[in-house]
Amino acid sequence: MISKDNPFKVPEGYFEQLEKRLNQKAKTKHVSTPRWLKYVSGVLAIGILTIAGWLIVFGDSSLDLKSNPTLAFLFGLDEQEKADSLAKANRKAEQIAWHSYTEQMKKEADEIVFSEEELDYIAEITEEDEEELLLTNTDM
Amino acid sequence: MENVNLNNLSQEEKERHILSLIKNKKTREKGYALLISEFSGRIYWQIRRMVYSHEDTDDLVQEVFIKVFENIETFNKKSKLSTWIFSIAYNHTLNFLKSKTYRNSKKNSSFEQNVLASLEADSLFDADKATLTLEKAVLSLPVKQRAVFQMRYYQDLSFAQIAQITKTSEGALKASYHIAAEKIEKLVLQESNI
Repeated sequence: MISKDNPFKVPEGYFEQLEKRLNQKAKTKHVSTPRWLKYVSGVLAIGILTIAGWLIVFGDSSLDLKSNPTLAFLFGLDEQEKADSLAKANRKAEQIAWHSYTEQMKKEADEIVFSEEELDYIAEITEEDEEELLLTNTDM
Repeated sequence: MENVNLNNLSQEEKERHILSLIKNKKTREKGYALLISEFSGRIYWQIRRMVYSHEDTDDLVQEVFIKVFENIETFNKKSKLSTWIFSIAYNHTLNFLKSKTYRNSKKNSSFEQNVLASLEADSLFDADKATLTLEKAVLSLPVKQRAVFQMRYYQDLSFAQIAQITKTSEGALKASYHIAAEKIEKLVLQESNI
C-alpha cells in the first residue's frame, strides 16, 4: 500500500544523548525528598504556623489565657472553673463597654453649650457644688 | 533475576523484569536505565509523528519520562507497562497540540499550515515527493485520527492496545483507521494524478 519509509531524521548521536539525559533525570528524581519526609515537613509547618498564630493573637502577656473560655479546655478546667472563667470574661466585656460609653458621654457633654438663661436657671436651683456637678458629670 | 539476558525474554517478561528492578531500591537505577533504553526511542517516534518538529519532540519526550518516573511506583499493573507509557505520551502530546492549536488560532494560522510551511525546509526532514505527499495527507487528518493511524500503521500497535491508550473502543478505532487510510489513499492518488 503506502511506503513506511521514515522521512524524519534525528541529529547524530541524539538517542545516546537522550538516554544519558533521561538517566540523569531519573537519578535526580530519587535524590529528591522521600515521601514520608514530605508528610513530616508538612505537619511540622502546620505546627509552626499554629504556634506563630497563637503568639500573635495571644502574645499579650497581660492576657490571662486561663480566663479565655474558648481555651479553657487546654488547661483542663472543670465545670465550675469554666463557669467562673466565663463570668469573669463577661464582666470584663461589660466594663470595657461601659468605659467606652462614659467616654462618649463626656465627649458629648463637652460639646453642650448652655445659653445665658439656662445657666442662670441652673444657678438658681442648685448650690455651687451641685452646679459644677451638673455641668461636668455625665453619669447623672 | 538481575543479570538476565533481555533478548531471550518476551516483551511482557521484559516489562515485568524492568518493573521488578525499579521496585527494588538496590536495583532501581538499573531498572530506570533499562526502561529508558527500551522505551525512549519508541516514545520519541510516537510523539515525532504527531508534532513533526524534532525540538518539540525532544522537550515532550523528557516531560513524558519525568511523568513516568514520578508515577511508576504507583503504577497499578492493570495494563502493560508499555501501554501505560504510550498512554502518558499520547495524552501529553494531545495537550501540547491543543495548546499549539489555540495559540495558532490567535494568530489566524493553523498548526498544520505551519508544519507544512516548515517541513520542506526542515533539515531533519528528508523525503522524496511521494513521501512528502503522504505526510501532507496524514497531516490533513484530525488530530486523534492521525494519532490512531500512526500508532497502527507506523508503530504496529494492536487495536486492543490502541484502545487502552486512547480509552476508545476497538470498534471505533477500526472504523477510524479504515476511514483515515481511505482518505490518505484518495489524497495521495489525487496529488499523484493517477
